[in-house]
Amino acid sequence: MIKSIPPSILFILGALFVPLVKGRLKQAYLLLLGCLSFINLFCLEMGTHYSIHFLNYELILLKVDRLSMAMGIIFVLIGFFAILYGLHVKEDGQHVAALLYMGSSLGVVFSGDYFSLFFFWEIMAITSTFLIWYQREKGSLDAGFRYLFMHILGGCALLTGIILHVASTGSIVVQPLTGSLASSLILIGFGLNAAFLLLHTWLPDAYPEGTVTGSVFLSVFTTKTGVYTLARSFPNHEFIAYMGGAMALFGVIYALLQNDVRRLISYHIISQVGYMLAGIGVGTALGVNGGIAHLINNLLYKTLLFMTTGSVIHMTGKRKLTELGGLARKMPLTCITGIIASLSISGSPGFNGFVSKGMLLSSMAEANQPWLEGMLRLASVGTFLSFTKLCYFTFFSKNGEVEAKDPPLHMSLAMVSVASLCMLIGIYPSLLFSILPHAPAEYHAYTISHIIGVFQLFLWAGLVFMLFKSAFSPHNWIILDFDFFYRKAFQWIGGIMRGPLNDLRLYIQKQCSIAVHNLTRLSRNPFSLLEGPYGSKDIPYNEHIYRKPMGLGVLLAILFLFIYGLIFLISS
Amino acid sequence: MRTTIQRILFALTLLSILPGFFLEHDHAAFWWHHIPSLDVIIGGAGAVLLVIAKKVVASFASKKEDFYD
Repeated sequence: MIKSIPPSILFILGALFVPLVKGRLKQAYLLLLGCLSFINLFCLEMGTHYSIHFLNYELILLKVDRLSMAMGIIFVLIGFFAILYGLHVKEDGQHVAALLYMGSSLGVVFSGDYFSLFFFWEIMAITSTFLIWYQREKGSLDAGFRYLFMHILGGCALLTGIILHVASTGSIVVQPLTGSLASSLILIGFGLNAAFLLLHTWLPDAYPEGTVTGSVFLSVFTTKTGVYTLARSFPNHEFIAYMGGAMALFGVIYALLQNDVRRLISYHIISQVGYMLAGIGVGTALGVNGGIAHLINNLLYKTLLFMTTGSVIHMTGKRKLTELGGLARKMPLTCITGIIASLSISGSPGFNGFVSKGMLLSSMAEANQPWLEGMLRLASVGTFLSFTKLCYFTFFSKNGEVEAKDPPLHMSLAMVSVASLCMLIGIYPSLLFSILPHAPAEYHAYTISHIIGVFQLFLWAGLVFMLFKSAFSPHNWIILDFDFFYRKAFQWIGGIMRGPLNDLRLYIQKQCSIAVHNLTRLSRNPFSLLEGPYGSKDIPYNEHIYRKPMGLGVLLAILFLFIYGLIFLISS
Repeated sequence: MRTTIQRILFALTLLSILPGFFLEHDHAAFWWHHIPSLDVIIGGAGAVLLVIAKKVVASFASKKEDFYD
């Protein structure tokens, strides 16, 4: 029997061969890689495999349990559709970066120890940056550097935490951590990827600047590995639960203010991750199952949202709501899939978000968390309003100037497939329940009370949208986030360095040059000392200036001889 | 056509209050779960609250697009 290999290795090795195949063969190769990894995944057996002995530690490259399997399945599935969506991309580098990014994300998921996890964690950070830089614009270059800077910062916190943890416990196994400096640093490292408030700024800054296909990949892996690692190391953690509630609210308020379509969705990643963290933080079986179910569902509809907005940008060249509108007739398929994604994320009956949001809200009631329930309910109103705004101003508002048509077949196929999955899970939630970590996962989402409640919420929030439509209109502005503090601080530091500090440097450099010059001159000709103050002005050597009478030389010799004799007499 | 749809939606919105008086919350744990048609209040009042929050944030955080350039 053929033994299955770590899913990460398949993608990482697969990436190396991308430049060797060309044209249609490359497209077939990329799709085949996705299919093979899916087959490989279903051959994995529960337990620990591929342990390597390294520096007295046992590195575990493949640890399979229900949680890692659930993550693996959704990562590979969404990765396949993201590859399909990006088949038109000609640059090998983009494909290589995407495959390495996918592979390293799967490496994080299946790592059984913190060293392997950290290794894959850093590959993720580096390879994902290239998906931003490949946009080849100044904005994306700058945003990519800020993204990398933040992730290196998070990586440093994580590594320090891991070293302290290993030094104090002697164990490198990924396991739940309790309060200590080491666990706090690890929490910061994982929390940065999960876009904890104050550490979140890289996400809405960088994701809208990525390539059209790169942003689809970006929306899938980084934040979700953050949530996954938090679920592994910090389950049942009240801080994480409340952080989740705050993120859910913050994300929707900022999303409502955005004009860039992908930035709007990026803020919703923060909000949706907040939902997941709230469930994982409360730590009950329903909460953790709800958090992971929401993660899986979110991957589907968030990918679909990035695909639809990416298609709009790809076909129109425009990314701002103020420049878009009237695309429903011109891009009908994109419009329909966009509406399906919006209904899914809003938690409409018949779509996947309805099931997992219901699980999470029920878990808040079950865990007696009234504040968290209130925050999540309010956030769900904001989610509906944001996506009503997105769909309305992209597809239905009047704008005759934008010319477009639906994207190419492979992009459309990817969108339709993911949209179908959103509906399939919405209609048959048992498909989702079968892979959740706490088995058996039982939840009855389709009760009359739940369905009516969601429709009431939609209708009344929709009424407010219609009555105050101008309050939701997009504007040509940017909204400052917490990155204002470090971006402005860096600008000021840069200004000080370019201005006063640079002047000081030039002054010191000039004075040093003069000193060196004068010393050179003095050592070459000691008589130049008699010529008055030294300056930067170089006087060429003229032998006639220094030609003195011979008597002067004799006098100096007698004088030195006398002084020498005097010193000798005194000393003896 | 557009006005008719708007009227139907408006009528549905008003009518949606009624079922809440005959249904119980599935997982009633807090006192507000017993308020009839709670989601009507959350949907309407929550949306107004978010509009206000949006305005407040925009009042100090909105800047011109070339702010960082």
